[in-house]
Amino acid sequence: MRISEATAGVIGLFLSVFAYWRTLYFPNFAITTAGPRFFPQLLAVFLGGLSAYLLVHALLAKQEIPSAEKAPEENQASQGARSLKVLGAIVGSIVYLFAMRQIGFFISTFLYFVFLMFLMQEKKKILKAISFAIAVTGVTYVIFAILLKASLPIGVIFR
Amino acid sequence: MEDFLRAFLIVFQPINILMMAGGMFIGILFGSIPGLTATLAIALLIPFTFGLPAIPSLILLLSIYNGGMYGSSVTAITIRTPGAPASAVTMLDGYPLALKGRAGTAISISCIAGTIGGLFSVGVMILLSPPLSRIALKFSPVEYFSVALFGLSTIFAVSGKSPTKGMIAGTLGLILSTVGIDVHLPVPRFTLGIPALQAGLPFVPAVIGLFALSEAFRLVEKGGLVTKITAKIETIFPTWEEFRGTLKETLRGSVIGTLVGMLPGAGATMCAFIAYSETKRTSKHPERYGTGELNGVASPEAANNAVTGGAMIPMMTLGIPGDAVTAVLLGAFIVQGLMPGPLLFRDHMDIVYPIFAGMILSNLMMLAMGLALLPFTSAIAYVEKEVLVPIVAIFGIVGAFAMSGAVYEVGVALFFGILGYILERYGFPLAPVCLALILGPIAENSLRQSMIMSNGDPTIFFTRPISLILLILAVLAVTVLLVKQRKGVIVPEV
Repeated sequence: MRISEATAGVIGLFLSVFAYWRTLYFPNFAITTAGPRFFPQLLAVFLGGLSAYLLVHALLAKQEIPSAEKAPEENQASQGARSLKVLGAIVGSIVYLFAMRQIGFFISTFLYFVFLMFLMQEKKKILKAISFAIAVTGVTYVIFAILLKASLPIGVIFR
Repeated sequence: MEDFLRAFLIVFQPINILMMAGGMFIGILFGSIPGLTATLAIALLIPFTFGLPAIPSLILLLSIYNGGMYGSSVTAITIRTPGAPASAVTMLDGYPLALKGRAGTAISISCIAGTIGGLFSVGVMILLSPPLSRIALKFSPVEYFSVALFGLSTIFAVSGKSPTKGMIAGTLGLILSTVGIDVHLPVPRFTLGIPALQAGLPFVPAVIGLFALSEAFRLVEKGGLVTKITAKIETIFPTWEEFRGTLKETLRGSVIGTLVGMLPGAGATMCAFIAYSETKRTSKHPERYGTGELNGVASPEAANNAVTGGAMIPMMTLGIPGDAVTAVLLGAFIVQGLMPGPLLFRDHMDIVYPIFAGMILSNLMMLAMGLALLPFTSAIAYVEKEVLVPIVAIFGIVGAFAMSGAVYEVGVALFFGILGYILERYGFPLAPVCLALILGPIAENSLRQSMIMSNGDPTIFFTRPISLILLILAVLAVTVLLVKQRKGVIVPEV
């Protein structure tokens, strides 16, 4: 059994059932057979069929052989650390989105840059991160706010 | 002819030349950096074009497309790391040439062949697009649905190793394309009670998320390794004899790239592979390939650059993109208030001619800049990922925010960024999602209009000749690809 494919199949099935269930809430109009529900329902059924196929295929397949280069524990540990980094980047991006409105473009972009650079660095180089963060924040501001005349938030607390 | 001359005069305006040079530089830069692609560059740059008129905007993005194709060959030759999958085959002979101290010659040949391929395909595009668009003007919703279905059948071609996963990703994209108020009736769909979702999921932030933010997350996972230089650029220009010796294969690659590139879903990678194998198959010395043969660089590079013109034909005449990069470009047209398709050729020839002229000049600029920047381009690949990732993420988020100053667009970009990362992590390709977001509304609208026309009778799609031919082609395309994959012929992901 291929666990990742089986999981994807189950998630796909869940999404197809969820999508079909939501389409039942769309008002149906008797003008034509192809109303607002028609296309999404067709797609939900198709997604369900494909996901079921993927699930069955994964259940019948042989388990993939793990890489022999590293011990399984080591592989799992480094994979876990990398996944945590990605989770950190995603959470950081969501925080950046809301922080931009609150503390403004300059401070939030500076902090977000330093945060992402620290996530990427094995050895933390503070001076490098700060100097790049200042330069990139400045260049981004010049491009978007001055050249493209986009209004970047100054931050609620600075108003 | 007069219209063409006027178009060239427009393209020669300083702003357009500046955009072309800027786009070319960005394209070469992104193409050269392994992991970054022209698609990502175009997605990131679309928000920059909001304040610009249509012609400079489209010239900028089309130049990125051209530059990206060439740029990816540089690192394939110098450090055996193709900037994009399309140049993987160039590596086979390009890197052995570099080891012989002839990296400069290989890159020059790649640039010259790419220019010839690009110019050839633009010529074909100029010849074929107007008559094709006149035929397409006669299409009813029935034919349009079949065209969209044919376009969607290409999801199999852009699915890499697993067609099932490609179809799942595509279907997910189609479902996401239905979010918002219904196209015919004032019915909210999949809005989950969130008022902002009634406007649907805007395409540009979705593309920024799918290709830029998801890539940033993926690079965070992979870490910040930098490859060491293994080849030096010593000689730069090929001799006249060497150039003449590659001309035949350059033309072969140009024809293959243009013709195959026109087929939705074929993509630059597949064209380059076909061109290389044809060149090797017809060579008197096939044993030389893989050891540093200049024709092994010229043919695939001409082919992958010729795809640019070929792939633009269905996008511009029918409004049907054949791969991820033309789908993103289609989004850029829409941002400018232009809907690619037959009406573009009827109502906006003032834009179409400068696009043609811009593509010709952009190819010539690629030759000039490619050769002039040659000593520096191989160094591009050494931009450290720890700096690159925050830049890509910030430009993606700020770019999405700058579209309307609303958090909603950034939220959509982040949603697609996370979705794209998860999908890729589990082996689901992203190109089908992007294609489906563009083709979904076209398919649904034409399907429902057709059903109204036929009073709910689905046989209408089989009783009209063009529609029937397109449906047969769609089934054939899927069958051929499935048979090839079952036989173990891996179709490269676009």
